[in-house]
Amino acid sequence: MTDLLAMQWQQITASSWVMLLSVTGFWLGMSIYRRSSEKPLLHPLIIGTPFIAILLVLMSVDFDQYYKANGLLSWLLGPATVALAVPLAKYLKQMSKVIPILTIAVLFGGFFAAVSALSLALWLTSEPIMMLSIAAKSVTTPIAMVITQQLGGLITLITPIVLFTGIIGILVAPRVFHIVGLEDERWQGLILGVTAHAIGTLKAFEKSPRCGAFSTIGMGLNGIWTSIFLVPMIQIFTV
Amino acid sequence: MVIFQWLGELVVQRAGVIVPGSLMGMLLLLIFLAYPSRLASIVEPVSNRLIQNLSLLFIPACVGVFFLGPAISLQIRLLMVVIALSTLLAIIFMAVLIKTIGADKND
Repeated sequence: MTDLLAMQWQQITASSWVMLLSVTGFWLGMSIYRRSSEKPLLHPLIIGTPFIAILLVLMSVDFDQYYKANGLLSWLLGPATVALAVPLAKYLKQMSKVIPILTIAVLFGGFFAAVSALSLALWLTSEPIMMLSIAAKSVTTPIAMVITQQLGGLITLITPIVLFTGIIGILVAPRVFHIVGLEDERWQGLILGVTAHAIGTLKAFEKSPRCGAFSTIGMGLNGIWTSIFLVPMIQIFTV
Repeated sequence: MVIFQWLGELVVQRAGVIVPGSLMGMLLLLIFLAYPSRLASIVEPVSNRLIQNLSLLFIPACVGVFFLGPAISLQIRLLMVVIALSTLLAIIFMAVLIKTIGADKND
């Protein structure tokens, strides 16, 4: 218990003025996003991050230094995940009515997301290490890291893979929903959560708290479900 | 929030499950919130602020994408194609699945 607290305290206190860069980038991204009437291609994460990267290079701050300086922000991800319970609790009653459909959608959707990534990777790259690193792409970062480690994939690759998946997800999802004619925001949220994890959930909360709540449940369930089926499945195939 | 995250981390440590502590903390808070109490009104304003600014918390990790280095840049384009395609397929698959079972009809 005490070393857990000490570790977190260390992470927070490592923060420094460099963190202001993140806040500036976020603020800039947000204001452009709002002014563009919230086009997904101009999401704050897409606008803000290259801006920060360029500044870092110009100021010759290396990435490790920058990342450490943002300890407070990274640490806040933990409590923020816990905070998602609040909107979830509000919609618990609504959700209990649709449990069968919710379960089917998460079971099949999560399975399909992982299998489609695996088979495409097998077809295009033929490198086993790439396959192992990409398998957990639709799962939220902390769980994806654990899964990738168990599979023997590249840990450094999984974070950008997961992020890229999320960004692609929020870019294509609105179009797919439009084409298929899926207008119900509950299911839009669920799909965003299962396929685009935290970034999808972020997007869902921008739509409405209800959409966000379904997205949260999709992300959480898919994380747990993928960690259950993926590891045994790959072990069977590789032996 | 912080207390529940710690509770979550503790439970995960003890039980040895592979779910991250914060997710477990979320489930614990959810269980507590399911019973009507004053807790909800205390927790809600803090929770809303955090969720509204969630994007900001992802920024440090996202910036890392630009500093991956040349080591994997050879494979990265192929990987991006794989990710983009399979994510698109998964979204289409789920949207069609939900549409087919007609879940979006009853509200």
